[in-house]
Amino acid sequence: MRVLVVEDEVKLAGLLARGLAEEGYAVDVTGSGSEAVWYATENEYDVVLLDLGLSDGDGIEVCRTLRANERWAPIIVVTARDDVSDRVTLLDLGADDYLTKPIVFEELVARIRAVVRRGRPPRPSVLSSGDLVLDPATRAVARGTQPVDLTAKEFALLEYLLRNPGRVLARAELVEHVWDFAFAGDARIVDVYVRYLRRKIDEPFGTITIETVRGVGYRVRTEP
Amino acid sequence: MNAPIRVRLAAAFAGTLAVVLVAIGLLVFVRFRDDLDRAIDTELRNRASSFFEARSPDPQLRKDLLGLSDEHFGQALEPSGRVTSFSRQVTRTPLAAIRPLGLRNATVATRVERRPVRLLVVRRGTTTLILASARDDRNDALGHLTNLLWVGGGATLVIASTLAWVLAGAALRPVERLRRSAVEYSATNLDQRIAIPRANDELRRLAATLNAMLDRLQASFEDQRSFVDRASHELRTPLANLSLELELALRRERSAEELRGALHGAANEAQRLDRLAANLLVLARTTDGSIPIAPEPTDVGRLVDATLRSFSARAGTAGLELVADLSPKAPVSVDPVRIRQALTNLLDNAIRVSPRGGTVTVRVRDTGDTMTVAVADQGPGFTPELAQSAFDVFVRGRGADRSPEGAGLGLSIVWAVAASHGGTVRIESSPHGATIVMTLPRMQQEELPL
Repeated sequence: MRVLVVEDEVKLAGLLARGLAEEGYAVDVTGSGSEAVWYATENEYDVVLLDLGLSDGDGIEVCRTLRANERWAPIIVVTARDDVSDRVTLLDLGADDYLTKPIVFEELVARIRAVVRRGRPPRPSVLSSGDLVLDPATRAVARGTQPVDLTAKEFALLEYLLRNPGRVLARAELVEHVWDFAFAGDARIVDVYVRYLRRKIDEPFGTITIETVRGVGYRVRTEP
Repeated sequence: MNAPIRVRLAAAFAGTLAVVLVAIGLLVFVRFRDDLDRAIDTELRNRASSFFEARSPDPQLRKDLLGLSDEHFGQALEPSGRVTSFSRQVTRTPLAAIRPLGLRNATVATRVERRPVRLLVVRRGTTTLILASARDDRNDALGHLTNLLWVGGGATLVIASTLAWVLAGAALRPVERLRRSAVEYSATNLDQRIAIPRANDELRRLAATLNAMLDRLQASFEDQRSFVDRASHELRTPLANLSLELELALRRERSAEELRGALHGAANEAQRLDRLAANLLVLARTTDGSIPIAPEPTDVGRLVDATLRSFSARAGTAGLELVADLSPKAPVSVDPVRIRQALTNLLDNAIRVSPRGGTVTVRVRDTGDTMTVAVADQGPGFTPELAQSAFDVFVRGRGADRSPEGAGLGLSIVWAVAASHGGTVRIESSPHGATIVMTLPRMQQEELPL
């Protein structure tokens, strides 16, 4: 397992490198954000440990750049205790976990093990199909540059559909994931909401995002 | 007086007005009464003149001249006291018996058979004349006047006081609004301000003054808060390193060598913490850029030597040479603890920025009036922007290893120490090194607090 430690406090970086090496990790250390992007682009890391308070720039920028370049290595953000909004931003940008300083080494290695278990599949923070884009963090949907206004239910349904592109989703499954336990109605409610969705995201633009699979349910069309 | 201003204003107004009204009432009453009395007296004298000028022997005419109505009557007396003539309303009883006639040619208020009258006693020749006029009408008129004054004055007092109460309330309402908006102001919402009244009056100026005060409070509060924020952040770094170092050392069985290394690292962090805490303490005590100092005659040369010795180990590790260039003179009056602290900060910076194999020089010069302490390094120097802000708290440069090692406190302390001694600090910077020069005025001997 290979770890990239991005930390500009030299002493702390040294301690982390030493401790992780003792745990059997291969460790690279850098103190600058731009170097961190280079390291993580050139190498396949299993974990990136990213300090938020880099002096030469922003840990947030490093995270954004890596995800934009489709580098899916799990990122654990190390922050001071009081930057809640930065932690939220980072998690929404695609960071996987965070640790607050002061670091307890035992917790750090446990978190590294946890994110390594989840692997490194592509997990974009913004969902899309064609030029339809859905951002769960800002709850915004757009077709190209045209914003689309959805109700909460429509949004939830579209989000679930976009998270499973190309897979046929049965009405029962959609009801299960988008409606809660209190919903005791007919599964045909899905048909109603799919019709609403198409009226907003497809019909005005002459596109077909959601296909009907006769007798089963629906499927989000993957790129042709 | 604890009553609200509104009550006090209205009460003071009502009280003053009452006094004025009573005074006016008394004046009017007295003048009116005197006028009435004078009119009666004139009438009495006219009657007396008519009686004497007539000299008529006709008893009926004499009788009429003494008085014709219920209100006017009189008697004429011989020197013996016998009544020679009298109007018909009174008996033969001499009026002189009612009141001793000590008065001559003067009027007096008295009663005749329980009736209030004014009497005039006049003597001409052998005849003494006693004339009376009833005061019933005059008393009635005065009674009416008194009633009028009571009612009118009372009504005026009530109406004017009510008006004063209303006006005072209206005048004070903006004050109450000010108060209420000040209540909402607290330490948690420092950016709240008192609403400025529209009218350009005293209250507007008061609100503006209060807001200006709040601005200053907020600024100083935010300075304090950001200082505490930064200070705790700076303290946290070495503390975190210390605890991580120890945690790592304890995670598994360690050889003596490894443990020694860990303890060494921990000791370094502890020293860093100590320096940081000392600096923060000084800055926390700083007010308006200076700190309390306790000057005493100090041999600066020896102070520099001692400080340099404490850095020799670190300089050795960094591959640096420390040079002292001293021109020893008589002891100067400085606070040795603070000067040493400033020197320590300067050396700490100089060692951090100097490349391996370089030299750090401490130069002390004494010109008689001033003393300069200069620390020269061979680092990359200050960028113009950094030189601008280098003395601000938490502004940090970059070390030779490009790591932001320091907390950005060192030069702030140097500045504060120099300023407290009445001195200055300046930066002489080139790409081949920087020199920080601290200039301290030599205090006169008599100024020394011994």
